[in-house]
Amino acid sequence: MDFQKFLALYKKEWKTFFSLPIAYAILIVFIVLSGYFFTSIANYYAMVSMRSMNQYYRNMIDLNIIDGIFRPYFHNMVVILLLVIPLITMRVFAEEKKDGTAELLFTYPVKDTIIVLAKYLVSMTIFGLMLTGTLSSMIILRIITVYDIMPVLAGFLGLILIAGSFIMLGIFISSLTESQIVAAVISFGVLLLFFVISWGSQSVGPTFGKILQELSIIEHFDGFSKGLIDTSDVIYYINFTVLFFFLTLRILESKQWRG
Amino acid sequence: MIELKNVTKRFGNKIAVDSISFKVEKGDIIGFLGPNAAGKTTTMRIITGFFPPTEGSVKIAGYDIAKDPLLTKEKIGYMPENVPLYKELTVYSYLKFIAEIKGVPKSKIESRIEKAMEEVGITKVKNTIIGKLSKGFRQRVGLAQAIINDPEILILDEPTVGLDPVQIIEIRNLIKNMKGERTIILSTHILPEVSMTCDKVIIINEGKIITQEEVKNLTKTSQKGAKIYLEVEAPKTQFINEINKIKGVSETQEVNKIEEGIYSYSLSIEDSKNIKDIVNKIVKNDWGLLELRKQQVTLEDVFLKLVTKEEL
Repeated sequence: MDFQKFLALYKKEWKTFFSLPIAYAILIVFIVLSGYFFTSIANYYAMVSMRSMNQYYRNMIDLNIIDGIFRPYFHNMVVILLLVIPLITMRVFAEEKKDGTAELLFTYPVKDTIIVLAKYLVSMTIFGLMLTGTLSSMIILRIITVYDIMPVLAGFLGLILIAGSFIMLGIFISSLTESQIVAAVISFGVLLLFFVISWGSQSVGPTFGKILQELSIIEHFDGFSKGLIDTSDVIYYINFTVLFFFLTLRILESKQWRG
Repeated sequence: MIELKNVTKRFGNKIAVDSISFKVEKGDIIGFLGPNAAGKTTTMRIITGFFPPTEGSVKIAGYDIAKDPLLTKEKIGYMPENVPLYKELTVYSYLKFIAEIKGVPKSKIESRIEKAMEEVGITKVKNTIIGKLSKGFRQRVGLAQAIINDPEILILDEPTVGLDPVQIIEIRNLIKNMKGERTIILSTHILPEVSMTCDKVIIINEGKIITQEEVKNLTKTSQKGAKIYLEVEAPKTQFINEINKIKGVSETQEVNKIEEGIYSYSLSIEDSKNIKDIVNKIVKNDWGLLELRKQQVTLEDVFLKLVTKEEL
């Protein structure tokens, strides 16, 4: 029975999202931007490779396709996600609250956990669709040249984990306000803060600096972008997601929401 | 069926609902009457489980809403005031979503949707996007989502607000037809609605229940004697003096001067038999009786009297 309810919510979220023009705008912008980034990085890499055949440059650069193309590409993808994911998650609860549909939703016999889970997984599916749209670049590169798939898959796993964290934080912020714009702006701000938080780590002493570095959402991504899966990085993103999942549940139960 | 005990709801320092208790029996249609911001919506939201009361307990069919929220929510169909719907969906896909989320068994979903659409008359707009429907149709969709799982209890918050007169009558008839097995609570600030659709009325003001009674009794008990309206061609002071002499006439008031020598009056009498004495007096004095009618005490009068605590 719970699964039927979950599925109903999932389908409804999916349908409403794709009835909005913003859905297509987000998808197209994301795919075009990531394609452009990939092409320009690959071109640059090709140029550097050509030069390295020259005697003078030989042995100066340690060339490999993972470090040369995929690592900067995955980092760029994270930056695009930073901009795009708040736009996906901003409406999740803010719209229901503003339109008053939340009033009905929370009088239906369904657990809050299922509501949040369905909304989270729909956003994840939308992200999955975006990610699938970027595969063409990888396939074309694979046709042109040979590279190892496994490190690239690790990068994708990293992207999925980091996007999951971004999405859950975005949904949490969306549950705090009625205004989609406010939700998007605050989500972006908070995500950016988690992004740059390690920048200050050099100047605040070794202990506190280490803490800031551990908190940073991008520090944990570097391993994935190089093709390395570190359990502690995986746990960081899962913890991040679970934390904001429960915070969202707390907000939904709180007076602020229903009072 | 529904039992509220000392239910209080505070928003910060503001008390929205102040220790109210009432019971609703199975099959009743209850009118929840009160001016705007009296606490009607808050009470309804508590019953539907949208938010918990600050104090007190609510029982639905014997289950406590705090202990078994999913069970009690399954028994309730709710239509909020502004009928919030997902405007991007079609009527059919919306109702399907509601049926699924309310836990209607898969095999019954199709038939329940058909039945609900038929009951409220929206079958022909089944593939229209909700955002494109008129207010009257949206109201019907709102009703359909409330009844889709065939709940024992219906809670309707201002079901006719914002509709045109024809639509109002249609919605009222729909509600009346739902009577029977279902227990219905509907809130309104329009009085005739209560006398037309409800069996019992609960009048609420400033978060407190002022009175709860059967609609029939309400107009009867507050009607001590009757009021009549008269238009008479007679000298004013003489007429008032003479009429006041009649036993049983408690109060004579001049209402209006119609034209020179013709006035209209409002009289309070103890018994309908007094009318005969009044007419006799007028005939005896050879005054001209132009109009005489009994004034019904309406729910409106009762309501105003109870809310403003004025004598009728």
